Amino acid sequence: MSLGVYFDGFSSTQEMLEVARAAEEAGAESLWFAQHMGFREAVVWATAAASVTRTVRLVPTAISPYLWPPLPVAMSMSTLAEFAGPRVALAVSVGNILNLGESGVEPVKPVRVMREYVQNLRALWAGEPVHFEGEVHHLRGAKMMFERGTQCPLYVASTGPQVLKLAGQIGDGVLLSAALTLESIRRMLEPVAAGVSAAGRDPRSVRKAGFILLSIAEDGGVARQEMLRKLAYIFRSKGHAANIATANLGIDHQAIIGCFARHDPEAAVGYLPEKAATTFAVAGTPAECRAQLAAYLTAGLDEPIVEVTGTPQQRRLALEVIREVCRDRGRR
Amino acid sequence: MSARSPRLGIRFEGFEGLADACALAREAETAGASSIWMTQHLGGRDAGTLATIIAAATASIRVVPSNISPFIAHPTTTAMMLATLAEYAPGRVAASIGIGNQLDLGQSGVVPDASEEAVCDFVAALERLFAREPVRFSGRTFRLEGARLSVAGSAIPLFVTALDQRMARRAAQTCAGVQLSAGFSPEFARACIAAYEEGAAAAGAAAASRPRAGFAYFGTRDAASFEGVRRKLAYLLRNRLMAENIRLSGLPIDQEAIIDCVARRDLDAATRLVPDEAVEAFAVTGDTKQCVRIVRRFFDAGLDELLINVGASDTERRAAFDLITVINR
Repeated sequence: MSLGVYFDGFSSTQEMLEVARAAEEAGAESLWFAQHMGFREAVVWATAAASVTRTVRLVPTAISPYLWPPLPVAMSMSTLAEFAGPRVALAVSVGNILNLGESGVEPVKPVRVMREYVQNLRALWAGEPVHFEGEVHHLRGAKMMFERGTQCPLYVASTGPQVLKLAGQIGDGVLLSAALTLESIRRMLEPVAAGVSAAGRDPRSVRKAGFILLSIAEDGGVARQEMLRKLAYIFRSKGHAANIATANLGIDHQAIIGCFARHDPEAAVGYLPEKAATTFAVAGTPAECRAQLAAYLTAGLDEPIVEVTGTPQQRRLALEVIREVCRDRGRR
Repeated sequence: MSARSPRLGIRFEGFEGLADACALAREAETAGASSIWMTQHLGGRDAGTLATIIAAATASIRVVPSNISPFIAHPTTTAMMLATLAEYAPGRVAASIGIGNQLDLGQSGVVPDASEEAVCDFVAALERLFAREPVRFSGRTFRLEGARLSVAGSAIPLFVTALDQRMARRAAQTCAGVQLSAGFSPEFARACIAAYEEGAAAAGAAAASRPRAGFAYFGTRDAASFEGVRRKLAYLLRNRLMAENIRLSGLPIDQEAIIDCVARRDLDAATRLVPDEAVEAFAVTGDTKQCVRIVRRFFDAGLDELLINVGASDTERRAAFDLITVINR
């Protein structure tokens, strides 16, 4: 098990760089740069972070085939790999349907497109001219002119069973979204295992990574309230229905969606009981967070990845928890 | 004419090794270069990633991902990249948008139709996204349905890459500056800048304060350096858009023969068709004194920034940085 830290692209670049340095020093083994449409771009952040770190792995995350053609992505990752060495990986995903729509893109045939994307990236990195007529992209002799033969590990990010199965079949790893219950994580790893089995692969060849929301404060109640706001925002998506059902907390998901449709996020928070903060995420005092995180570490993930965000004091507390978890791991 | 004082900078083509590029960037900064441009060639190093690396390796020099093609990139993701880079290196980022190389685009399954309009649409979309309001806009290569940039950053000047007067004229109708490709003579640069100013006047736009940049190959008096530039020019002159550039130079260059040679992948034969006078007309070559004179001709033609490739040998690089020091002093 290796602990990582993720960034959601909402904080400043300066803050990200400070946390990246401190996370490596605390023992984190990977930094994941989640890209949300309209916010900070993942490869630029990963490259900037590479310049202030030495060993930590760098993973631009959730690059969508619908907005980034394979050749430019292969070029940017190879440029990053040339700069940072072998500590580079990439996570790809279909992307958020709402955000894709705002950029005029409809994610058609996602399983096929994701499969083609992974194949094309690997073929480009192999260094030979690539000929491929795909659903979205067409390569007619495109080729890389540098770093040829250097493959970059590819994680496939999803919460849907078909793409999760595909991750098991062809990914070097799978990445699960944040705000999942422990039960959801276990359930989502089932199609991954099915994909691994169907492809006749060694289960250990597919790394299982997952984002874990973390809200920490000396006052546990404050941390949990902050987490409820984040969860309400995340649960505006219909895609979380099955995940929410696993919690058995009587959450009215439709009401939350309705609040966001009316641009009333505060009302949406009211539909979440305080227990949701510790059921879908890690939230509370440092001691409470350590205990909750321990449960996530046994949920079947090889790479639990926590966020470090909030005020300077909250970031310091989160990094301290990471340091302790990594130290404990070292002792074992 | 531009109101800016003319400056010399450098350009990477994306095929230089990273360690070398970082070392050159530091030297360029020390020599007082105005900026470092990274041309996006499909299959080469990514210009945005390279710009981030160079920004990290230097203290204050401007970095400019260039020739970003609307046929490969999307305005939302390009705006995110540039805004993130600008937050990392405040006040040090610009970018240029260009059609891209037709052959390379074809290898990525793209046929660049209505290319001038596509470039201008892309620039307009970037300008609107930089304003951080939701954008609804149908361009030739994209559609925005409320996309919004949420990264606040410093201003990012944009350029349109022009290979001819037509594109230069069209570029003036956007809010962007103009950046001329390599291989132009000062005479052709003058014609393109005139076209840019005509375009601005026709659109009722004030273009006087907008930047005008150009690329140029650089070589020393050394025979190998001179031949290296000749070879690069042979490859550039295969492009039919260079016909007017050749005509204005008044030099007897058989462009059709060059095109035939390059099509047969016989670059040696194409190189033999480029006379010495063409190397002197379309590039910056010679000793420092001669180079200063040529650079001044480009500035007199209306460019306010010239970006040179610094060459491969230590001698060429030393000469390039000496030239930058002399010009920018």
